[in-house]
Amino acid sequence: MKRIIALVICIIIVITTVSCSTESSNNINQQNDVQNEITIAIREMDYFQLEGFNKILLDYTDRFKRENGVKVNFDVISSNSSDEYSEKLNAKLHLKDGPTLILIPDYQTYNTFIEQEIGLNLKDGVPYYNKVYDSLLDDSDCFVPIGVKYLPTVLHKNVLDKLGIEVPSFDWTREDYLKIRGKWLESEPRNFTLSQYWELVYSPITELKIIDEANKKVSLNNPKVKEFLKAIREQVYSSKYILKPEYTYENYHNMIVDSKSKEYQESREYERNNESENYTSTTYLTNPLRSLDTAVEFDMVVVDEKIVLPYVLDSDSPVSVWGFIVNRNGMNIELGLEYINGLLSDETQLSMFQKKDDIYYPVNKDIEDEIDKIEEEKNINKEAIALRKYIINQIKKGTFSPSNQEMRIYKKLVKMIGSDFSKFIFTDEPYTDEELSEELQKLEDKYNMWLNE
Amino acid sequence: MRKYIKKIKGYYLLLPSLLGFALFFIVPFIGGIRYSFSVSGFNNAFVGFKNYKEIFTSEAFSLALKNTGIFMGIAIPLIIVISFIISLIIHEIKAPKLIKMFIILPMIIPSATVAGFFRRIFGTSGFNIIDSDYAMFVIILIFIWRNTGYNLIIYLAGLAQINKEVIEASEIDGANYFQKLWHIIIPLCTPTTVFVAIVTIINSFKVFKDIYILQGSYPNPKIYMLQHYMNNKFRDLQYEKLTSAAYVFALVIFAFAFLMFMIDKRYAKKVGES
Repeated sequence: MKRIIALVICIIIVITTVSCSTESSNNINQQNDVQNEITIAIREMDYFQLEGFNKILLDYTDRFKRENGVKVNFDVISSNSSDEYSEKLNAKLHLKDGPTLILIPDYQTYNTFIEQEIGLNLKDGVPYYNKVYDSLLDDSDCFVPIGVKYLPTVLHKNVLDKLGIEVPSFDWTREDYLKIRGKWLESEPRNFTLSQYWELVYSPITELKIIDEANKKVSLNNPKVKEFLKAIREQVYSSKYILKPEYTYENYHNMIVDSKSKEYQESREYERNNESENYTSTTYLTNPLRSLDTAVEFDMVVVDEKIVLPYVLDSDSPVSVWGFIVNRNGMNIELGLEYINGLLSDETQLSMFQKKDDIYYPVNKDIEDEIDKIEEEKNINKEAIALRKYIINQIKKGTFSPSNQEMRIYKKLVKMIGSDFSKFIFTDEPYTDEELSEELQKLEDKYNMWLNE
Repeated sequence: MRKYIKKIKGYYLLLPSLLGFALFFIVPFIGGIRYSFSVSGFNNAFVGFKNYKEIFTSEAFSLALKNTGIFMGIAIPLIIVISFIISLIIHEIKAPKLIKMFIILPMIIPSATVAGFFRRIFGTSGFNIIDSDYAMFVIILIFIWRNTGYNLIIYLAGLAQINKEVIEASEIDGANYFQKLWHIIIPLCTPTTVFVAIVTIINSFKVFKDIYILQGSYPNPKIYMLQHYMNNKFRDLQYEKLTSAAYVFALVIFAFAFLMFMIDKRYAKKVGES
């Protein structure tokens, strides 16, 4: 019996070894197929949104396949979180002949791929690379943007009318915004919600320049931050806000830190139900660069008319792009470069602008005249055109770099710092100067460690 | 010839396991050394010990190493002692299977459920220890709660193997319970204890999953472990730092395992030895 078992195991090992090393005639055909194939690594949730938000990519891919006889595969990576997606993608990047292109969506940063020398320099390999607006390009020339999105500030006209405030013009400033907010808060006490907290805390954190990205340094234990915390606490407990009497520090902490908490859910529900009473709108989704879309909205007469304006609140960039990194270890890189080049062509970029199932604006600066012609032919709302041109001028001047160029950890850090600040703002007994210094120093040490991990 | 075949038959039967172990553990372990001496995971230029120097000067790595050391230094001996005591009690009183089942049950509960449960008790809606300087206490508690059952099974098997004649002989010689425990049961359980210690070290790596679910990639610094550091490095494609940290950690584990084997060699007693 033992001999039989030993024999069977030996046979299995031999068969396995032989089958793994045999080359069959099929391989030659397979090699030919592989030579005419590129793969695009994409996150699952982004892939499912292509049909509704980024149709140009699907349409162009079909055309590229037909015209060039090249197979374009989407390597769809499923994940429950961005960290999980990164880990799965990273495992693929190590393969010889891994994915040709890595699709970078508008919410994702791409510096890691460049720092680790995964991205290929595209300046010489993509002829149309020079057509892209300069401010959208990266110094490394390893990322190519294909479409751009802009996050505007949207005000409710009915609220402005109630406050007796004139509709601001496009060249309004941060001070104008803060005046509107101040007047809105003074008109009547407002329920203190999660959005109110982040409005109070987020922008000042970026304005205080607490995080020095270039030198990878966080600075918290200083008089500016202490004054800021004191001022925020005074504002929160002033007559401007209605606080829940039963809420303690723990409740506010839960609301800010834990998205599954009862406090968080209640706050979000209240905001949804009372959207129209807020001076800003958080539900406006149209990209103001897409004048054909915004014109339709501007022409509609609606009860809660929205005023769409350029972003002015802080130095956080309202500009984001989607595009590609070419994997230097990927298969058929030349075909991948050709694919990208086609996406940057005048024809494809113009098609993106006109497509209804797309939310991005072209990055090709050479088609501006064509876009002007289209707008004129369709006789669209002049205000929509003016807004688009104002924002494009900001992009041309380089007022904002795409938010994708930020450090991967930057937004996470700002949120973590904002969450930690809740301890000092909602505490029952205010901290003394020494206690505050000690706590801020601990936080500073912690964040410097994360930043320089 | 027959003798020769009989001799090597055993190796043939071991071959599939050995091949698998070599392919999935030994080869990657040796292959990873290359990364630790390279510029990056995608650039093979040799840089000597630069990566090792950088991780040792990294505050995050030092903190992770310290926390992991504290966790293993406290949790592993504690769980060994607790599992041994519980298994001894169960062995002596011949406890019903239901009690054993309840002790083993936490092993099979999913990590998300465990994290949610401990967050309720020790998070902001409970005692709020997870965000404090005593967060390590919660992690040790989670680890002991989850893994005592596993060690219990091993210890019960070890205790069942102790020759009853030795115990009876000691009783005849007038030994009380504690003398039996100290001079007979514990020494005879030393090989089991060494095995439990090694298995516990392996299981201690899994606590990272629970901390990650509780607090993410950047938790309370008091519970920032080596696995967090390595996981973050993997996510950021810094394979050179990841492998350097992994080899440093492996050296520490090898040293610990070697110590365990030395203890086994020195203190384990066989029946009849003086």
